[in-house]
Amino acid sequence: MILFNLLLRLFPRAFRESFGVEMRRLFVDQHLEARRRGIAATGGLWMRTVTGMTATAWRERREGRRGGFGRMRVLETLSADLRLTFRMLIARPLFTALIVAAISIGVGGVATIFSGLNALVLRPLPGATDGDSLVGIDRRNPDFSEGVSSSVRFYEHLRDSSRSLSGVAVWSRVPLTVVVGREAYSLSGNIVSNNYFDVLGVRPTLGRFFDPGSGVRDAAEPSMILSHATWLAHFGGDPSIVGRSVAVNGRPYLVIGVAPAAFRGVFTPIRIDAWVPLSTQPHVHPQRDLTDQAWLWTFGRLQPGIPTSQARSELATLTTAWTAAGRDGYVRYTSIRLTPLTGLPDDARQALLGFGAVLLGAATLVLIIAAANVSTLLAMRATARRREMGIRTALGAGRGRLVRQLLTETLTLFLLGGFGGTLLAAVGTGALERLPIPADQGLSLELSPDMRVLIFSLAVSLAVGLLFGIVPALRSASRNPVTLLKTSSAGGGRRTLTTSGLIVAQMTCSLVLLTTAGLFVRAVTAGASIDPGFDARNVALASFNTRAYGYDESQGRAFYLALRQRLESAPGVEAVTYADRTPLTMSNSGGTVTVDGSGPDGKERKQMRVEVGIADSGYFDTLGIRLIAGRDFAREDVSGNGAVAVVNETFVRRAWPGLHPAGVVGRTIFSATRPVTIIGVAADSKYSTIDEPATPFVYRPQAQRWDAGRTLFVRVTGDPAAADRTIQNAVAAIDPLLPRITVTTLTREASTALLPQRVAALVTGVLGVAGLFLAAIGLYGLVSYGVALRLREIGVRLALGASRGDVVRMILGQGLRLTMIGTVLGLIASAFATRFVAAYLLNVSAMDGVAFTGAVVVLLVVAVLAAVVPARRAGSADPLIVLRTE
Amino acid sequence: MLTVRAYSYFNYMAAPDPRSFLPLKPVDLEMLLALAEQDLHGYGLVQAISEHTDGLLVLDPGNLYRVVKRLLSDGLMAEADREARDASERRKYYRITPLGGRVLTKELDRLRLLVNATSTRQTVKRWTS
Repeated sequence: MILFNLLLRLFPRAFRESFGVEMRRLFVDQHLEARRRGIAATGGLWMRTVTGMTATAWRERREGRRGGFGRMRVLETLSADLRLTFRMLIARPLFTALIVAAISIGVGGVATIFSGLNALVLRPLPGATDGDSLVGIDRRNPDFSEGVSSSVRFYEHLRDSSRSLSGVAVWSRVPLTVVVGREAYSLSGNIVSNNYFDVLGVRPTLGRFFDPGSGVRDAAEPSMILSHATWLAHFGGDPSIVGRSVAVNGRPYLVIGVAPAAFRGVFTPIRIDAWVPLSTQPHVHPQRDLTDQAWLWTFGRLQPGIPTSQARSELATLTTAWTAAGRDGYVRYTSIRLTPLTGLPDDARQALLGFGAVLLGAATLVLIIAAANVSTLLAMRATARRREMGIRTALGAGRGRLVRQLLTETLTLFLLGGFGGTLLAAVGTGALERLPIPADQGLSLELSPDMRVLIFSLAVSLAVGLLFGIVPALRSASRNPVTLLKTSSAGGGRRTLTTSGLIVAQMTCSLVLLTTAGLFVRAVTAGASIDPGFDARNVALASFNTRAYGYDESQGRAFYLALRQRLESAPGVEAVTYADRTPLTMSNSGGTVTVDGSGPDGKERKQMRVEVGIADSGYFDTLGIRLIAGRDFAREDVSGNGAVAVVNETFVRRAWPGLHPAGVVGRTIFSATRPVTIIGVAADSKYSTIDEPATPFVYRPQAQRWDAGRTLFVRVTGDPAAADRTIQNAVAAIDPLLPRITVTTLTREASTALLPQRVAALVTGVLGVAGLFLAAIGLYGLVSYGVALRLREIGVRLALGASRGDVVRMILGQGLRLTMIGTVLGLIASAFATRFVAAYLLNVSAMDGVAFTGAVVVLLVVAVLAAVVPARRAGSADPLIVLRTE
Repeated sequence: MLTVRAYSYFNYMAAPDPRSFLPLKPVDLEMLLALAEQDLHGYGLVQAISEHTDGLLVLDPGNLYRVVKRLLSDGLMAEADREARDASERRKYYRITPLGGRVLTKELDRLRLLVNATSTRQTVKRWTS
């Protein structure tokens, strides 16, 4: 439907306004009917609609434009060219369909990747007004390597002092529990400054947004804004919701408005269900404050006409002045970076751009293969059309006119392919959106192509068409008509050479794609075989946040204790624990500790950067991590008693080289100035990512610090997915009003660690197959063509006593020679190209022998298959018939 | 042809001469034929024409509404003010105008004359035997 809407856009506005709705309705009916009749009918309908609509739209526009006198002549020749072109294309439907399909595949790959990148990092924020003037504001250290969030005071400073920005706003994430009737729902909320919607230029669908005039510390009745989807899902789309009170985290909040459907927040991949103002912080986010703590994301809108660089230097000056005056503790962060506000934080944006560039490179290879393929087909047809060109030249057609006609044909084919590619991209992005990505937040990916993608696809198609079409066009039109008319068939040597070159290029590109895909597949298997140091099997997990349930600290502790006790006595449960993070989900939190007695004399002090995790008793048992020395956390390790910690082996090696783990139990380390006693040493495991280097890690007991958010881990005897019921029942038994929680398994969550490799293996694999398929067709076409040209020679050879085997070997050899050249070039190109993907390969070498050998074998097998069919046909020719007909 | 057009232009307010529209384009003829039978919406038109031509002429939305636009502005067809059968059925229906009816009759007369002409019959006989 997107493509159809884009096609509609081609019509003049007046036409669209009178008939657009009806046209869309008609197409929907036709589409339904075609779908009933099968895939062929649907394809036919699309083909007919795309060509018909483009042609009529163009005619409509031309009629509307009548009167522009100067352009008339050009338009007339163009229209004559186009009419001729359409006739040529329709006269050979199979040829046209084949070429359009090849270009569609090539453009489709590029368009799919571009569409995904466009949706995630390029296009301005969906739902916002004039998104190009919105900037993300990032407080950084002078070399931009590290950043810090904004505090409320810092935000107010920027908001009140900046002259180059018309507005500055902040936001952060906060979990909310909303009770509607007797049901409770977990919502993913944003806590935002009052001017958030005004700075973004979002208008409410219903009611109003927060009052930008009131300050963050003004006491007022807490209010809330619902997302469009939440309003529909939980409140039945009832407009009377505005002005009603609903219970949020145990307190009444006034619903004052509903956001428009198109607006999905500033961080678009994560679903947002509701917004609350900063003034609700003491209730919904009590561990933060409204003064100096840094916890807010910042963005602003540039004043009209102010360039980003000017705004950046002004904000940097404001920040330097702020730190120089000693207004907060983040003295190292004196600079500012401004980034386009596109729905992703800048770091993720850069990472995704890098990853996307690799995939885009792979897709470009397929496009080159497709274009080379089409070029070969066009060159073959040009040979067939030499007579036509000769006649037209003889009748007085100028060379320019012929070149223009040929180019019009090629470009029309590529334009049709561009549309086809966009259609494929709509399908492809749909598949990408459905990739299973485990996440503790509801995701909302929206990657479908928009106008920008269509324009991009058409531009790419035209550029490639021009690049690959101009040479054949010039050459076809350049011949002397007399020679053209005299020789009937048999192509010149130069043309076959070009064609062979194009086949070699296709083989080269295919091999690069295959090796890349092979490397990613190897990376996935290698990653899966890395021992993470814990046992993910039979572990179910679920995340909780008791603050979102309206509990204070003592209620929260009681809840977690009760839940644990209930689960421990449940059937089929082996062990239960809590932790602050799930391993291998790319989450981490670091800290610095001071280690005593690290020197040989036991006097030296040293600072160490470590990763810190919070775990409850039974953690090592539940996750199957070996305790090498000392003991696990126990019930008596509570806040009142001395602080304790369990460290890992790497910590011991770094802190006290040469010391046996058993020897460090009882030693003291310092977190800031607080002494912490080491009570145990755990085996190393993987914490954040599967390919991380050995990291010094410190576990601290949950009983010694309160945090409302925890993740529950339950080791069961059977299938962990079946633990869902057990956990839900236990939660409901403690408090029936709690929202339904999401239970997943550790195996599933930890698979996030290999997500980039999986996506890359999938995408390059699909592209590799598409590329290889196109290249095989190209080779098949060339060999068949060669057989057709040499049929006479083959007949003579057979008549003179050559065996059929000799003929097959001869033809096959011709095809395979090209493949071998392509293979050698492809291996060289691969060795160069795979360096760009080395960063994503875990511990697989970029020159991995298995991947390279596998790719070569696949390429050779497919090439032999593609060449053997026409070769056998040549071998089975009857010399008598051949010689008689030729 | 041009003079006839000009003539009809000056008499437009009174009653355009149906003959000034002849000969009709094949698509226009099919459309008017379909509408002469009953009022139809866009999809109905496409189906009727497709059936009548044995699937030879299947119009895409662009083509159909381009013809609709032309026939509307020539006054050969008009929107039918027809009660929707139910709420979901809010399509535009089209009907043939009296002028359209006259044009269609004239065109059919013309075709009948053409088909029945002695020379036509002789031609057919010569090429089918």
